[in-house]
Amino acid sequence: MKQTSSEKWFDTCNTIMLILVCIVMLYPVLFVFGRSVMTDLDRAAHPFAIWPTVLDMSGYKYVFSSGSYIANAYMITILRTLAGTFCSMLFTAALAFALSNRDYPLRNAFTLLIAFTMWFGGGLIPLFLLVKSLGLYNHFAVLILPGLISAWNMLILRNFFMQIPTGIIESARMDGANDLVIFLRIILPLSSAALATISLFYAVGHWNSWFDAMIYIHDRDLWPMQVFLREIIHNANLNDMIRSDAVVEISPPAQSVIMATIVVTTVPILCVYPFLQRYFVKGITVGSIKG
Amino acid sequence: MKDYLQKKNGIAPLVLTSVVAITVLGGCSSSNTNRSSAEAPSTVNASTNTDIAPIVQTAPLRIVRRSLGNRENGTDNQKVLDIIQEKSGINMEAEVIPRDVYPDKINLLLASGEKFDFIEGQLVNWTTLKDKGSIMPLNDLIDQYGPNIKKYMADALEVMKDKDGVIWGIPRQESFPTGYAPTIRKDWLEALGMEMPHTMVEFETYMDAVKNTDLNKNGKKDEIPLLHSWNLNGLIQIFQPYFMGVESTRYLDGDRVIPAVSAPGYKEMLTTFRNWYAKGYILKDFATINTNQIKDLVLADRVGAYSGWFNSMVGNQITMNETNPNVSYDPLPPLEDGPDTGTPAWGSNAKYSSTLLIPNTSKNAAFLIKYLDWTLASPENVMLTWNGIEGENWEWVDKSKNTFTLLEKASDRYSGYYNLAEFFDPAIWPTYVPADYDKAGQIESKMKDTYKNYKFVEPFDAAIPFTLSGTPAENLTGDGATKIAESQIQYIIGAIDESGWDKAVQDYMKIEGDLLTEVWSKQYQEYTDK
Amino acid sequence: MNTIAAPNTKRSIGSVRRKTLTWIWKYRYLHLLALPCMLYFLIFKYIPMYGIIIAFKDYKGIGGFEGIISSDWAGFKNFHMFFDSIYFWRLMRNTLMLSLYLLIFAFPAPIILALLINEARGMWFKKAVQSISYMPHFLSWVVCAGLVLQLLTPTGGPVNALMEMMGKEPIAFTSDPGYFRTILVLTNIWKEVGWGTIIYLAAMASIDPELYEASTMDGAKKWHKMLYITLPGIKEIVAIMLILSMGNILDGHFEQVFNLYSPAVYEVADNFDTYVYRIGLVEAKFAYSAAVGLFKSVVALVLVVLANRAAKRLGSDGLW
Repeated sequence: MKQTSSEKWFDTCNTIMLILVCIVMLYPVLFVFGRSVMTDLDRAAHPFAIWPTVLDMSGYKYVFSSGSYIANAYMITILRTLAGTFCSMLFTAALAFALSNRDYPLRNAFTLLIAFTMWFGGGLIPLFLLVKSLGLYNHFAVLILPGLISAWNMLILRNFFMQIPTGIIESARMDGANDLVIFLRIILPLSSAALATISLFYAVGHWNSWFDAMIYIHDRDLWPMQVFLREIIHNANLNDMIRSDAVVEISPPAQSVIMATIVVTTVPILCVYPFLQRYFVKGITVGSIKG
Repeated sequence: MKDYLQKKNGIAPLVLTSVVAITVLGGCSSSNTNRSSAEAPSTVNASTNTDIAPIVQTAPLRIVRRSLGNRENGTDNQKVLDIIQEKSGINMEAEVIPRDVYPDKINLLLASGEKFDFIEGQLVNWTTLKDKGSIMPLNDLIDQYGPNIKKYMADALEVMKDKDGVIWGIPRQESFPTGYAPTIRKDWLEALGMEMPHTMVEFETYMDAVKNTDLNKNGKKDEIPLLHSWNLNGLIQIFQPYFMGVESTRYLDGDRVIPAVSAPGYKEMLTTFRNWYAKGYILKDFATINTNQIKDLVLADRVGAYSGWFNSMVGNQITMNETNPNVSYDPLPPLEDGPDTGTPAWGSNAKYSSTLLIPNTSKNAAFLIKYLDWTLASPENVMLTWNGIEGENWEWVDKSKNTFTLLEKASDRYSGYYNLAEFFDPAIWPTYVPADYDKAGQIESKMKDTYKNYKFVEPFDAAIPFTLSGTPAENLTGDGATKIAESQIQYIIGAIDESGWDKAVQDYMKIEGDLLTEVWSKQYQEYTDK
Repeated sequence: MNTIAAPNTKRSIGSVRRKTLTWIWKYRYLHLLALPCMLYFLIFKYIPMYGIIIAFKDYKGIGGFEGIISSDWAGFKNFHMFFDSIYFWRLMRNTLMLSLYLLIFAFPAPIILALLINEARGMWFKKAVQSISYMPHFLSWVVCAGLVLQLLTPTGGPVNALMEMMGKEPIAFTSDPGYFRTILVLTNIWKEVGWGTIIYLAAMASIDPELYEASTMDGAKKWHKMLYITLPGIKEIVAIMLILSMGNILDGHFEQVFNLYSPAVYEVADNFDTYVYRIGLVEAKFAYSAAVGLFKSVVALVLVVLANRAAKRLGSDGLW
């Protein structure tokens, strides 16, 4: 069909607006990347530049000079992201499926009980005591178990499942499929878009989280990357608050170190998410239900 | 119907992830069990002391440290620890908490009844912890296991005592109490044809000239006369003695102890800052600027004076000297034309302060005290815990004078991670002499020599164990501190006028100031009567 | 989609009436899926809830479980202290104002962006826009706040440089109460708008394409399709998001505010969460902070229940 002039108008405006959005989104991120390879003097002389006049990799050198710690922290972050996302998805999807079934008699009671936890909690100390009594303190599993199911993500997924036409489920049941089969062979394949989306939610949560590690982990070999990032950023900001009397004043990490650390911690997930995006774009275009 | 069943490949990536994740989870938990089995409690005999029945250390000391610079990453840490353990006979394990959350996590560990053996006393308030019953009295332990502690710390221990003479922690001695002081661009002073300022009037004349002269010759009047650390606190810290005679949040008014904000001189100080702000001597965004931005501004050749810990500008100066060898941040002498309430001095650290506390839950406190005592037994022991291995990390310059120097890059390999209480008493603690490679160290020690001659005013309340527990002030919420924190910034930036500030102080006194005055004055009386 | 849901209600009324044993067996697979998950909620969410009693105690913060149980009862003392605080109403006002602004400006932003992206021409362009708009979400607030402070600083920040070029006086945006809320709202939109679109785009993708085809046959314009097909198609998810954000109305966006604010802007920035942090955690007044937290939770729960009821009245399925 031929485009009318008003359609063209619409498309042009839309494209311009989206390009503007992209520029606004991109500039500060490029700012970090560019500044991570500038010298101190360069940065000071060109406060707005995102392109270095001289390439300076000293920030990265510093970050990688602590060698094994960074590599190890990276491994922990990757492990917790993979394992944590998988476990969370397993339980979240199972629960969301059960609660998406309008016939399930416990549906309302369970949903209420879960929603309640979104606003009420016992606070840090009881949770800390619980973690200790379960033997999870300073154990890798503590990075995964306490946040296993996010009530928020579960409700979103449940909502998606509820939108799948019941006709499909009914006809499968006629063919003799039980709930488990329906869940694994119909609901899950049909919801790849939603599953990819929620997985990404969990993955990003795991990638960026530091508070649990800081509270529950005292072994530095189990520290994730984010704890180191905070460490480097805050060291610089707190420098003057502590009256240091070290013989040789340990100089605070320069801005390039901070920028380099930010880049090092964010680049992997920036590389991964467009890859995951393929799945939900696919889900968006193909996965919609016909009839 | 068939369509849906065929779309199995949609979950292929999930299945893949799951396989990876299971492998990974399994791998991790097993590696963890390995680790914990390797940490079986070791048994070490206490060093033989004839008077006391030998006691046995059943578990390594659990040392909860804060991160500092990169010291916890020192590549020689394990090596040094092995030697320390062999020589002292004490086993320990250090774990590290990010510095900015250290007090929070310590509060959490204490709240949960966790068993550990060491708290950094500089980042927490020992009187508060004592009142809660979280820390251990040390008198008996020091009597029994700490002859060297008693020998060197006799005076210093006074600051760790409550009104009944109970010792609640181990003190620290500063090498250098007068280190909070401004530095000024010597080369700019010369370019302006000025002498080093000795009065506030001269200093303000300099700042005015910096503001209105293009000293960095970039065609813009973008010079910043005065930068300072740590937001407003940094500025107050340094200039408070000039206006009030002493640096403290409390003020001794006859025999009454009142909040410093209500004392004579405080408003004059804020009014001075307010004038500086209006004239553009201090930054418009001084309330939010951080250390990195400060560094960038200094390196952009825009900063005429800096107030903060004295050596903050040394590294920047060395960087700037690469392009301009004249750049020099020199010590600014104390200003002599202050009000009657003031004194010509910069803010100081207390000579002694709290550095080590032992939690009440500790089962190995005796071994921690023994370890500290062992550290103080000889300069060699001090050096081992403080700077690592002789010949590898450091060497003596003149052993008879107790001076040493660090080998190049030594502090990257080891930097005092297992030194638990710094006590810079020259009788035992060796003195650093920078070698040729250490330019920063040389500039620093030159600066120290200047600053050491500046007047030192010890805060009057450094050794008084003020406490709110069990007093009418026990339930104060901190609203007063909020009131002052925001009002003084509002006053400086001109959001409120003088009567607004007076009103804020009145409000503060009503919220908590009057009550605090009453409680503090009473405790001060009790303390001085003794 | 709502029309599809309708036939089920009759069945569900019938099934509730069946005998206990029968339904345990009938829904055995659903139990199998749901119960382990509920066990998680029981252990990690419900057991620690005994901690709520801390708000009514004189808990000093030592001794673990025994310490909590054995400390003296304080009745409503901690709550009275909070209500008597000279800052109570300011905290309430600041918390509500920020949420209100976010609701007005930040809540619709991802919906609008999702609509734009949904209409974008060309798969490649669409994907690029999506990828780019998600990017800020991956930066933590610590990093974002640092960037904001650098971009806005009156000593050499680009924004003030631009103003100077236009002949205006530089402004210390981040220490000026007049600008602070605007900064919070804008940074919030910048960081989360792209990420927020994911949910709406996924919902838009599940809209029946036949609806669009049919309307194209009828000669509907793109603009109209957007208004009359896409928007109604995502109204369910919009309702859910709205209900949830009602529950978060007392949320102080702690990480964001904490990393950006200073005493100069307490007047407009200080809220329940920053207050609890400063006075509760830093000073280790666990009981006091528990009381403030409990007050917040109760009000939030009331709000979300009201919002859910309102959503149901408007024809949505609601949260429960």
